[in-house]
Amino acid sequence: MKKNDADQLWQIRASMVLMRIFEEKTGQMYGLKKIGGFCHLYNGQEAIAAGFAAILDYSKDYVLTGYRDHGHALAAGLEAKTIMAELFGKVSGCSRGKGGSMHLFDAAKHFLGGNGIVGAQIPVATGVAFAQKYRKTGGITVVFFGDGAIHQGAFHEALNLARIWNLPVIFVCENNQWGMGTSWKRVSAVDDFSLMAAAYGIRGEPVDGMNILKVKEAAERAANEARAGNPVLIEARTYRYKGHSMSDPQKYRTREEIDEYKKQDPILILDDYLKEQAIWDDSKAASQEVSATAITAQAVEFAEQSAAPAIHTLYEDIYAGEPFFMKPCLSNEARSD
Amino acid sequence: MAEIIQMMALSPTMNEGTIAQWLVTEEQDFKSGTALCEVETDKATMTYEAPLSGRLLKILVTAGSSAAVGQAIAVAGKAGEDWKSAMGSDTSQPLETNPASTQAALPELGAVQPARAPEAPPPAETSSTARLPSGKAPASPLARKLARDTGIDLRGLRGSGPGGRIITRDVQAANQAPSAAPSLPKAQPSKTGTAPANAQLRGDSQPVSRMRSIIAQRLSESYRDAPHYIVRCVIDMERLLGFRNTLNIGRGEKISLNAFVLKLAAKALEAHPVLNSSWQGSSIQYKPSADIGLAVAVEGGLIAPVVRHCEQKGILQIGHELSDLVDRARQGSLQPDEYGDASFTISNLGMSGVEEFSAIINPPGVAILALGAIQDEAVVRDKQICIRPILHATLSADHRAVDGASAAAFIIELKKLVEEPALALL
Amino acid sequence: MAQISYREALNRAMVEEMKRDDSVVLMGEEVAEYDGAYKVTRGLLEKFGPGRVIDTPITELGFTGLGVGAAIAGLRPVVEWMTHNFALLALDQVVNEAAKTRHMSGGQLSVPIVFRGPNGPAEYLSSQHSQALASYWMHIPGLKVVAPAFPADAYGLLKTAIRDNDPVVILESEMLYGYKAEVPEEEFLTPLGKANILRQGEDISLISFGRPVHLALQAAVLLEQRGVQAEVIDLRSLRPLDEDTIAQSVKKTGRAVVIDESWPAASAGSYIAYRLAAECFDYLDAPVELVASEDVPMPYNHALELAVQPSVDKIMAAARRVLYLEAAHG
Repeated sequence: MKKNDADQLWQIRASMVLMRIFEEKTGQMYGLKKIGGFCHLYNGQEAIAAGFAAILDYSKDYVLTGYRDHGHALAAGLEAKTIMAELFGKVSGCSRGKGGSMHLFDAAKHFLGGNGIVGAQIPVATGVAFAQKYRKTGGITVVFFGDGAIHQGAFHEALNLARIWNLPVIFVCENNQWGMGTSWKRVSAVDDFSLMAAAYGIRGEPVDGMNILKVKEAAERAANEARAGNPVLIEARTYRYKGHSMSDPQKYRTREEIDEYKKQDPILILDDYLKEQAIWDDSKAASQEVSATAITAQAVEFAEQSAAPAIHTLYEDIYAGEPFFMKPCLSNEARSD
Repeated sequence: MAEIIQMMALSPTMNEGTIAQWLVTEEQDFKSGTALCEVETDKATMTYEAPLSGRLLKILVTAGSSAAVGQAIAVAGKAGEDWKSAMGSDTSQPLETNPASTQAALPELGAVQPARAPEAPPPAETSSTARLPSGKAPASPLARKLARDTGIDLRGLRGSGPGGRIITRDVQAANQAPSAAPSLPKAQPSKTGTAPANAQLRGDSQPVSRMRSIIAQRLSESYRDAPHYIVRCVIDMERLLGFRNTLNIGRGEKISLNAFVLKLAAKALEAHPVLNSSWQGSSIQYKPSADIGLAVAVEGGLIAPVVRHCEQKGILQIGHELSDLVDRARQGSLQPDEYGDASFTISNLGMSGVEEFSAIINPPGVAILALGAIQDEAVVRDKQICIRPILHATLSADHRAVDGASAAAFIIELKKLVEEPALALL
Repeated sequence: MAQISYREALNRAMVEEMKRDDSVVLMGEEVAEYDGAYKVTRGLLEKFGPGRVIDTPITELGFTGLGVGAAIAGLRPVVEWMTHNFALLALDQVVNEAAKTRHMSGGQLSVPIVFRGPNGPAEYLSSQHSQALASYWMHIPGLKVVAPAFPADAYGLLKTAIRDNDPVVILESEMLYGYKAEVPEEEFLTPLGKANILRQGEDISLISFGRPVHLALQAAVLLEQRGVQAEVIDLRSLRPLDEDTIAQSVKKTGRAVVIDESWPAASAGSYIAYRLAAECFDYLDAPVELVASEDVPMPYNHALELAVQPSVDKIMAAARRVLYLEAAHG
């Protein structure tokens, strides 16, 4: 293996380890009530975000995803501390404390957010791709969504539009097999989501979402096609270790099922590969964990120490320019007149 | 370094959890994500997954015990580490939970603060602008404003708007004809001949007396909490009035009609004890005796002195006690135990001339009987129209304790007793 | 000054803005090759080509969402809904995406998009195609909402909306598309959030937006014949709402009739009536009247459908009530 390739795999591993440790800390902080609301963890699905991030050109490409967005935000290069601060609802968060766990954004990094309505990001992403094509930027848009979203009309409408206008977009279904508490098999007419692409004349491809190498290969193939104006649908079969959200008692599946999947943990699979390729290094691996733990700890500290947004900021970020509001909602203090 | 494992909120509303069982034992290694223990939350039994990897050094909260969110439940670390090393840095404390709702307890009725010396009233407003009563005369806001600005007294105007609403043109017309438009500063002659003291109240606000505020509080509570319904009946008073006349012949202190009603009501309550009870939320408390209150109007309010054990007392004794209690009620010299805790209450507005009315239940009782004036009415007896002295009785009952059938049975029982007092002897 | 139709005014605005700025694209059902379902986009395909004037499939959610994404990525799409009735299929994309993206991103992203199409009753269309849905949009912070009643405002407001950096919903009226009036030949912009006083009066304020503005003007003429001077206010914008102008008027007249062709509950009109009650309480000589659509789905039969909608008669009856022109025992 070339040194460059080996370096990239180690970088990918670092990214996945950071996602994993960041989410573990997030779960802990949620349990300690530092984080509120709906909070969906990415544990188990890291290979998908990492695999695509490895092949995207963030100077011109865009990423959109659903509400399970912490891992994708890290993969897109958002700093752990601005994410954690957002989860804490602090003004230093990547969305100024307005978005929270489900709505991480970074316009400069071309990460167009966590979207809270199942499947709603799919037409939006298709529109971003429309603008890329219109402006001939050469960029592509990758939109991630879950197995729950694939039955929404938004998905089907968007695929049709992407095909008829030949838009540079990759639709990635992260099939973690549980739409909240419902097994995907119970609510799907087909047991291979990649087949759905055929209805819209685009290529569909199933991929083992636990295997970073396979995800990366599939992503590369898809990106090349998308850049040429051929949208692609990828179904990345994966598994989420945690509940749908933090308040999910997970009575719908067994601990054994989860443990079985943990044997195919995406980080373990990558580690095995590195060992096969004889580029494994115990101390390097350990240092990645130490580093990720430190980054996460610093993120928590940053979030803890950051200021809460001032109340008056609730009137900000709603309109461009001069804000206006229907008056009865304004307190006397906030009224400018 | 060894690390504290804190109880986490495993549901958004959880403030505390009970460890159902530990799934990892002390000195056992575990990985991040391993199920450490099961926790019973307020909603369900949840699995507590390890937030880190390591060895379980010490269980601090054993199965069956509970811990607040944030409280240390175990210590983890590396093999051979001293678990106590973590405890020095233990800053984990139960997170503040929502303070138990500090609903202000309502003051007990009998234990109102002693009245403070009244503070000096604020100086009366001497503004030359007309002060309008917040009264009932409907007037448009603009008409009111115009009247305020021009010193017109709206009470003297006749509204030409819908429902007699005074509108701007009425005020303007009054302005153009000042002689016809009485302005406020001039005292208005009282049309109805109301006592001047009352006339002076118009437009004023008066601080509420202690008695008024107790009445307001008790009756609001009763009306709000007890689902009231009423049952009515018409009672032929001919026999009872005759009976009373007979008993009163030659008697210096006449027995009041109320005394009879109390006695007969006590008799009826014996047959229908649920009317003589108290609603306690999770239980209905049946009262051991018929302690009947009689609402008495006094200056600034009303009070209901109670004749205890009416079921055991004769009419003479009840009448005697009643007249003493009523006298002292009007003097304001009743002791708390003489007016509290009525098991049943009667309100008689017959003297005021109203035919019938309904009353609000006097807690802790579950029913109140409202009596109107006895008036001659044409009634049908044996298919003949004849004239009889008729009393309209209205029973308000608390549906939480008393169902309609019971209330009806009670009032009909009372009707029978009043219409044939001899039955009370049975 | 030329008399042009409301339809032509909208068309002219789009032509000028598309010439001025190549980030403006137009998409919707039948907008290109068919020249627009209501011919508002006539000739645009020829002028700007299929890359900028784009026929979409009948997937309101899909192409509305696509427009939102294109706006986020820097274009200025004009999305034509064939009617607002069909926009209900796209409600999620407007309410949850267009209106919220700036906010959820902490101000990082803009959504400069225009949603436009006919709203409100037309004729013989029954319940699904004759609805006035202004309050659906007016309810949502993050949106701007305008409802032009005249060709000049249709032109000026659409141009401003296209240049605005926030999502703007335009409520057009099918019944007004053919209405002709003068529009200045030189280019101009009409500001969002500014009402227009169409007629000055001292006695009563008639406040409306969109098509019923014309009914209010007719009522004002009838009132004048009775010696009543009505002030007629065309709101033009619902969000931002020009509360200052309407409050000033009602403080002057003391009487207000609000005319809204939507249903009465939770409507633009009922909100305006509430604002007047709050802001002008001491100045009101009568309760604010709301002339709304009857609270029923639109029937097909023509007499019935006319009876459902605000009319000059209904406005006059309301005006008589607030003016106390009827017997006092009302």
